[in-house]
Amino acid sequence: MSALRTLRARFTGWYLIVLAVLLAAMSVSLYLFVSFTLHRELDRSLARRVLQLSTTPGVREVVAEGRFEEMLGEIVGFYTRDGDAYAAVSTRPIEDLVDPEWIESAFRHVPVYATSDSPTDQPLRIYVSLFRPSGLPDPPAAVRDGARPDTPDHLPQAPRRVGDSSGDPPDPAVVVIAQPMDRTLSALASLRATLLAAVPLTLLLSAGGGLFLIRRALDPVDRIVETARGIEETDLRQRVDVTSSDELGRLAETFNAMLDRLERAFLRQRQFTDDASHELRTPLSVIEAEATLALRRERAAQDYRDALAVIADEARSMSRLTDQLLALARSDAGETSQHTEPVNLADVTRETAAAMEPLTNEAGLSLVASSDSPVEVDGDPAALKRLVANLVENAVRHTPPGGSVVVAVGTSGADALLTVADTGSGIPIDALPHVFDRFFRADEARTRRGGGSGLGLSICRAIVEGHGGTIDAANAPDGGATFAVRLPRRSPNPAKANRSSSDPPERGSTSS
Amino acid sequence: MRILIVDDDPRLRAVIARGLSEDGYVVDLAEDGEEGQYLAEANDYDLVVLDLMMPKRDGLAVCRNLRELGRESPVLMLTAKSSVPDRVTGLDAGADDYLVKPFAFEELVARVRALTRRAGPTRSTTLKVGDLELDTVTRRLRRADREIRLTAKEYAVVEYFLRNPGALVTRGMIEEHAWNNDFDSVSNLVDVYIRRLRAKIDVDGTPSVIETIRGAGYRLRNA
Repeated sequence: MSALRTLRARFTGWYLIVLAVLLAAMSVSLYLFVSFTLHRELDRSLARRVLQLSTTPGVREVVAEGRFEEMLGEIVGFYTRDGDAYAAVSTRPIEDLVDPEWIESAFRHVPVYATSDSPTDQPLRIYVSLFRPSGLPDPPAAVRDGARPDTPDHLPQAPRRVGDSSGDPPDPAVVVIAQPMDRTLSALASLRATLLAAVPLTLLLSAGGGLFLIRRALDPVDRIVETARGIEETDLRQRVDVTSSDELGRLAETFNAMLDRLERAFLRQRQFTDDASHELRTPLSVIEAEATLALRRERAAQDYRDALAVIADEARSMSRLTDQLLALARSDAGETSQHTEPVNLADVTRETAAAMEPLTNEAGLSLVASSDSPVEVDGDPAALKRLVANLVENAVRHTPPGGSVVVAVGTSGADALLTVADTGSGIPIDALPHVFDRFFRADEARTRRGGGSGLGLSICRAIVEGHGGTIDAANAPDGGATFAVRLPRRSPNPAKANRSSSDPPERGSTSS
Repeated sequence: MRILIVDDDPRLRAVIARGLSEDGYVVDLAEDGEEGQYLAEANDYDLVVLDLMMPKRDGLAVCRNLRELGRESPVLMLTAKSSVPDRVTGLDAGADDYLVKPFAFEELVARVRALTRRAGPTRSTTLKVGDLELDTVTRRLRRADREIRLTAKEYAVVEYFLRNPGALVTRGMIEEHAWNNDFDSVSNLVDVYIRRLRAKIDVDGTPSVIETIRGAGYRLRNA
């Protein structure tokens, strides 16, 4: 659970950091933009005011006489040269506000914008410019001087005509206009306050909402974890209940599918273990019961002989079964025959078939082994013998007396082909897919005594698969079952294996 | 006492049947679940020994079916499955006892005795009616102080009478519990055994302990 919490915290942390950086950048940009716009607007209004004054006839006199109707908080003043010093007329005293350098600059046709930074009074925005009274403003194109610094674009400039034809006024003057900045500054202050409050609040809400969303999104993970934890080794029936179609839904689906496969494998394994224990415990019970019963009292010699015969028989079948179970367990453990050598499958088949003749004779069957040419494979000769023996045994078991079992070895493309066909009753259609299953008996009513252990064909399949081949069961059209084994042929032997062959191979020599 | 053994292994079936027959039980055999269920439905067995893993119909299904049909015969399950959940499933299906293979044969016989005893009127291993006394373990019958030797079949008949003292016992009931399915009911075997038992048990000059109820059957005199 702590790892999950970390994932949530990490997600939330990361996106809060990203969000904070973005919000901060946006707030700063917004503040700077608004501040710049407001200041520019203020400066423009100052320039417009100068333009307005320049079209006001006799404005200097009006100011000098103190009759000027100033706007709220505004200060208007005019500076003229008076020898080395300046003479000033203004609506209110402005000497404290104005730096003489600004006046000098304005006389040199370089207007100045400035901000008074007096700590006591309220801040003022000051514009200092050469004053050129005029009846009509000239078209701006004629008066523009784009190279002039410190002057924002599009600012209407007071017309500047050096050597004016009217010659009026005789002495050049500089106009100073100061306007209070309180509105601009208070607007900026409230914007700042708003941003400083809004950004943390947004972050807080995002953190809450984000945690909620992440918790919701990761909820299925919790359920998957819970299910996975609830799954016992012996109980794989639980499934994750997640129905969403998103990534986690797919994860849950995949998880469930994996559980399905595990459960099936587990059930197969348990079925196998149950079957194996049943197959071993039953003969043990018989042995115990026979012995106990025989020892209960004095009996005739024949009774003892019968009991011992049953016991010996059960012990034999148990040891055979144990061998088979061990062989299967080894193949399950991936222990394929370590020792492979070139094997002539035709020879192995012929020898094994010959060795099994007594069995087929006893069952009243004829065994036909045909192999007209050597067929070489890489394999374990002992395992291949067992394969042939198991297939023949299986065929014998399912063929009534008078029938025949035909074993043939040939080639089919790059494969060696071993077929075992009988003339028995064939395999029931619904049993075909299961004939290689462990402990499966197609003819259940016959049970283990009449039939084999139910492991022979499973062992065949294990041997064939261990050799990289395939095994198939089919029914012949005229009745009887045919088992076909394909094994990869030994490749570096073109001389002998080259002989073209048909499928199924020709049935040549007869050994029985 | 008539017992049905249902197991798919013919040798196990045979050896159990032999052992139980030696002990005087009457044994029927079935080799798969279907046959077992058919026989158990058709006859009133004193005990059914049921294998769990069988072709056609497994022991659990047979047991459940019998219980659903109201069959009260005790069921002893015989199985290779030894895990606790398997035992619980077996007992919950209606089995009365559960024996795991490989089992000791004497234990099987003891459990068979216990289960058949449980179904009767007494839990004692000794059945007593009047001066008759039957030890079901040693299988000895005594009348007063006299010991009476019985064959296995005679024992089966006597045991049935002693388990139903004073009650009307028909020939069919005796057949049902003392003979297996191979018995041909047309024969008068029951009457033959009743005569033999009377000869062994009765004391001259007193009325027979097994009285004949004309047209109906027999009754064990209660005193």
